[in-house]
Amino acid sequence: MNRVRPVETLLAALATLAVTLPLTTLFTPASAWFRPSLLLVALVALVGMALRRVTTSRPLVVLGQAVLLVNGAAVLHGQGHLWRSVVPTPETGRAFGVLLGEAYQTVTNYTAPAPANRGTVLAVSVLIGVTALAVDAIAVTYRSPALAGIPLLSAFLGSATNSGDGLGAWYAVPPALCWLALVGRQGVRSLRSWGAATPRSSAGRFADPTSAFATMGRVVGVTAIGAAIVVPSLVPHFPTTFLADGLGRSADGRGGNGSDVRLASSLDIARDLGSRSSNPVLRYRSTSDRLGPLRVGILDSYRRGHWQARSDFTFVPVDGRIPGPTAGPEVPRRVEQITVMENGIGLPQVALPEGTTGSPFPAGTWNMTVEGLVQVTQRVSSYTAEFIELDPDPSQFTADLDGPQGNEANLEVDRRSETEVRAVLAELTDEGDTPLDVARAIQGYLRGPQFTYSPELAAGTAEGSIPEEPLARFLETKRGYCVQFSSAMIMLSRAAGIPARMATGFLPGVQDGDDRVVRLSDAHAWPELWFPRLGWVRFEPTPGTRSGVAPEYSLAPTDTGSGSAAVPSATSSTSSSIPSTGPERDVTADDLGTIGGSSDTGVIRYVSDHATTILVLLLAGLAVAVVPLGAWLARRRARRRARDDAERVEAEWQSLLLRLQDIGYVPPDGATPRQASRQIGHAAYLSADETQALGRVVSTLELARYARPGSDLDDVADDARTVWRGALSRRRRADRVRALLLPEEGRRHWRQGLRRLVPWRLGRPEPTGEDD
Amino acid sequence: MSDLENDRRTLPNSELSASARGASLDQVLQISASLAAAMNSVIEGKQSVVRTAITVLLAEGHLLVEDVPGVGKTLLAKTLARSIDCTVRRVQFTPDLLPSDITGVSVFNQDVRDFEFRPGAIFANVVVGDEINRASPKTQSALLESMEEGQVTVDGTTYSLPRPFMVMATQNPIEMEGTYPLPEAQRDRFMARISMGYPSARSELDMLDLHGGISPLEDLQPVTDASVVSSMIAAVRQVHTAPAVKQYIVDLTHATRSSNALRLGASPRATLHLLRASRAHAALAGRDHVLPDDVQQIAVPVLAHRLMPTGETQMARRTTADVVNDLLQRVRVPSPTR
Repeated sequence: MNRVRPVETLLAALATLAVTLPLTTLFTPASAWFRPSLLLVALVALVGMALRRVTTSRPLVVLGQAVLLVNGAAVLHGQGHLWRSVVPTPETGRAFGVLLGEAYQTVTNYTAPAPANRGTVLAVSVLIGVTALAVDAIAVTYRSPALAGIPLLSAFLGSATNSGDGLGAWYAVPPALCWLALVGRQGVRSLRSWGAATPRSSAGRFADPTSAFATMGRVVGVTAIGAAIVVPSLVPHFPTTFLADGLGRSADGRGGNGSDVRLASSLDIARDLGSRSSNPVLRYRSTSDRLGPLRVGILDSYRRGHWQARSDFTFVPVDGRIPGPTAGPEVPRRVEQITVMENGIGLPQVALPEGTTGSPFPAGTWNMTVEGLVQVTQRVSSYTAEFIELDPDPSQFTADLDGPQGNEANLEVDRRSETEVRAVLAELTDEGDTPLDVARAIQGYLRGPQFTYSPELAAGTAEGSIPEEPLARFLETKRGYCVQFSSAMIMLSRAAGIPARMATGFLPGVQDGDDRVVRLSDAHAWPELWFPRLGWVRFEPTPGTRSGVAPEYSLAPTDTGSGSAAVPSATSSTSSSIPSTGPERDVTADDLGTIGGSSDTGVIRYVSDHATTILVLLLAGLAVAVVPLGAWLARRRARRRARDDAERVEAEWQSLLLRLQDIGYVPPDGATPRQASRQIGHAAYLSADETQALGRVVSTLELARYARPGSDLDDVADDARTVWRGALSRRRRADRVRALLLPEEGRRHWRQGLRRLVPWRLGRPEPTGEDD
Repeated sequence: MSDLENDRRTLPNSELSASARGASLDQVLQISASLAAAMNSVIEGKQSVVRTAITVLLAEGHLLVEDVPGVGKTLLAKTLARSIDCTVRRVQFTPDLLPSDITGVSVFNQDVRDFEFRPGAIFANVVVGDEINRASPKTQSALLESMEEGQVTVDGTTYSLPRPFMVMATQNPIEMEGTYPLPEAQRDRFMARISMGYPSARSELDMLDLHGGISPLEDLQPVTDASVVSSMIAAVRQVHTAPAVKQYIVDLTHATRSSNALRLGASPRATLHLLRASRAHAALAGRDHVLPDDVQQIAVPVLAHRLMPTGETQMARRTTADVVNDLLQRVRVPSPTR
């Protein structure tokens, strides 16, 4: 009657939505993925209620929900790849594969928060839908809300551990409340149905048999919640890790953040980016709202794929002040301040914004390189620095020759890749372009749709068609990370006659309250170009939100409408109007085939990367299923081997007895079927229907055993199943699970099989003819 | 009480009833039901005793009713005899009763100048032997041949007894004064021994009303006759006994012989009686086949009186019925082998 269970369904749906709360810190904007997820959760809940109303078969309900969940996801995300806009087709599957590949790319390439593009929205909403299905099936359809905590907890932990930061305690409260409400409701319901069947004792102490259980339940619940709050507050936070690279990172064993961090003083651009730690490096506060990256190193010499500083000569300015930008006074500027509260960068490096001026460190504890980089000689845990933010006008980028020229070395193009660089440059620029135009064109080209941000470089040169030289190879494969992008822009700029060098440092990090926190994973490299009236000016050729925001001056005016102008920024990257960088391609818009190929490799790579895990999971699943499978085979064999109805009935009865034995109902040895059935019916608290079914089974069995051979016998399989289910449903859950996973029938089946295979293990005595 | 009575196959409207057994089995069911109803109208609250009595009748056995005086042993025997339209003889066994009083005697007929056979009390369809253990063993033994073989041999001439033939004997417990214990051979010829037991308070109250005035036995009309009973017996013989059930019966009697609680186990005749009684029991439940449950339910009345307990068993105040019940718990019902 109350199979629909609307309240439980609502609670299950709410619990699912509640565990998605931490996802709001993972994928921004939340509105992009929340609505489809909400729709899928609602779909699962409504379908569940409808199906429970029409059918009593619980697997059927779950199956229906799953089918409609898949269909719902297809309708929501796969428009354009559906048959009659409703029915998914193989093409939908391919499109989903592409989108999921993108989601994988996004997740591996971005620290939280990652942009919510179509791939991640699909992945997130489908995962939430699957969670909703699992929770609804376990808690409502199968009425085991306590078990539903597992999918809820998995979803919650999955999102919580990947947010890269400790989550506030309140995130755990709504899911916990919803789950407790589910459990409580089920508990109250089952206790009520109990209480109605149990006569109330007149003795005052046990006046209400349910109250003792309810009290104990409350105590357990309150204790659990209390422990969940107290224990984490006592135990210090473990370092948080990121899903995709967490495994690789934990392998190096450097979990802690005790040691200082130094950026390499030379960079090999041919190397993969490798693992990135998310350990905090800096905590600071700044008055600027447009803060660029913090610089810790300058590399201006490129040799055979390696960047390094040309000289290590240092000096201390005579006036004891950092000189600040070299730009003339006509350039608009603002004076801002940065206060670093926690500094985890090792000597002599120190993170400072571009244009730092004044004397942030005590005299004698710092010096400068000839390139203008500040270094410290003593460790500083906190410091405050003033810096000047320039806001140059495009006209000021002109190459007036009255300022100091860049070092000749900063025009040096790497010989080994010079041909390729100049060829690219020739495509990008026209005669008469100003240096700013050239720089904008280069940056726009590198941020354009042809290039893919990836911490892993393209694979080796199997066909020999990809150049060996790393820079040339990058220009060919168009795949790399900030170091490659910066190197390419530097070389292109140098080829165009603009002095350029590489700066290394950290992206501004993420806001944490009033402070910003920089992690090691925010390490970044970017090019600085020399403009005589401005000095060294930062550009940002690296696409995607893992790079810094491109400075305003570096962007071509939007009214030119050129494709290269469209550059995503951290805040606008999710806007669908930008047809831009790699991870945000619109699958449905165009060439599915070509993109599909590249993204399929993502899925394949995912599978190959986690082959062991998948194999172990598969084997575990197989191991769990092997005994039930044996039971099924044994039943099937018995049914097939039966020569007549009587043997079939007999097999059915023996199977029923064995299964009942699994849950502890063992009729006495050698009892008649009637005695056995009486005992089982009594012990298993069978309902009237089930008792009748058992009666029919026994009657038919008696006919089969004791009546004249050849009489007509009914099929008792259905009745036997009814009895078995009834008996099973009245056992404790542990017994049920054991009976389902380790049925004696299955064990016996495999034992017999083993015995046939290895007869000597039996220790069977040799026939000696001594039988008398 | 017994779930055999709740069996759907015993219910009159069950669709199985017509097809699963012959018409005569239906008849058995019907007539035995009316027979039981008639007997129950006289004997209050003794349904199971009545049922066993009818079972023995249909199984061609003889019935021994043993109990203290005054609980209605003779009434039971007379009621069963009166319910069937057949020849009935009643023999009051006394210490001075002679064997020839039972079997009959050849007397010299002056007219034909030859010996002429005067049939004794045994020549009837139903013989009610009252207080059989008050006669001397010699007289008791006169019953032997007639009970087993349905014939009487007097002076070298063998006379057949009418069919159906049933001896219903009552006896007082052997500890009572003036009783001779029945010889083992005699006891073994009775198919079943039943004990009336005291009636319940309610039944006794009803009895006061019923038997206070004129005895209801006087008004009892026969519900069947000897030929019908014969055909019922023939139908019961057709009840199928699966090999597994036969095996079970043999296992049970073997168990009595090897039991160390018993000095004397069941005879092969007991095995045969158990099979026949089980068939009749099944037929009374409307089944055309015997279940192990039939055997179990009839085993104590059929076996208990033939067994002789050891001294230890007697010392432990265990009756042979207790021993049989123990064996029923212990002996496995064999799985069917085909």
